[in-house]
Amino acid sequence: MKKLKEKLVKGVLNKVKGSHFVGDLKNSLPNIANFWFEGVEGESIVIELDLLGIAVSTGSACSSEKLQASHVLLACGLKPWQAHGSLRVSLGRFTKEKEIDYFLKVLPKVIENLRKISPFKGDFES
Amino acid sequence: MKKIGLYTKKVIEHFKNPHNMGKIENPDGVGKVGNIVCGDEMWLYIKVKKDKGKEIISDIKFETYGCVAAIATSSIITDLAKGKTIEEALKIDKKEIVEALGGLPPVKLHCSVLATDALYEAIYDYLKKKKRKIPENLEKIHQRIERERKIIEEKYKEWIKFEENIKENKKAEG
Repeated sequence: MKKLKEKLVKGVLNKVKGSHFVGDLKNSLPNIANFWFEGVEGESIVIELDLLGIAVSTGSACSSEKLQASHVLLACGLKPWQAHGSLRVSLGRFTKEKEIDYFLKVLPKVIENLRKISPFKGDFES
Repeated sequence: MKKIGLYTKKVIEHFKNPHNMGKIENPDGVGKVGNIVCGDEMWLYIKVKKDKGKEIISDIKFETYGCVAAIATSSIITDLAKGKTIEEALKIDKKEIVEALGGLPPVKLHCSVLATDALYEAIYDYLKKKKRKIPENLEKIHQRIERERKIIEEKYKEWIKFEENIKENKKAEG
């Protein structure tokens, strides 16, 4: 599972501009990876991926009943707008490499589409 | 209406293919509401044309950072406001938005308020630029939005300052 996580993290950072891995690859659980993406909001990413058959979660305020960003991510030192753009990907015993490949194939387009809608395109304006 | 998770099919349609998305160069009015620190920010641009003595919203576009509901309400309000006179557009309320989307989850109803606020602010900006009299009701709404903005800025002032520093540093780096 650790190898799958490494592949996932490296893949996301390589393929998606303005993406950030939260945590440390060496000192972390092998089954969870947390990211945040500049200029896009987490719930939107989750629903886009859900429509593509991928189940993931976010620490964004929009996804919570309290409408507050994940206190865990904030305690980890993330700024609120970073936590709003967060995505948590969990791996399990039955996660296959080809599922990671599929995730890495569709994610860049999802982020790109949401950035087109967002006023915060940052350095990613095409 | 058929639902996908918490959202109606109509909400998902607007989220997947938002109408009137983007920016208007040289807009006649701009409304910016919400704050990225809170997780939702909506920018609405309008272009106004005069036709037979009436002022009509001839073009309208939006840019939104936020959840599915925030994007869907932005999209639908551009549909509802386009082609309407200023007076008619000011009558669009959150109820009309929610109905047009076939409903919103209760926890997301505030997104419909954000959308109407963005439209009202864009119209306020337009009237202000034209040095025109602001209708009493619109002035009240504007004051409320300003008050809320100040509360958020006060609550999150350290974060907002932090964010502005980052933006400035990025600019300086060129």
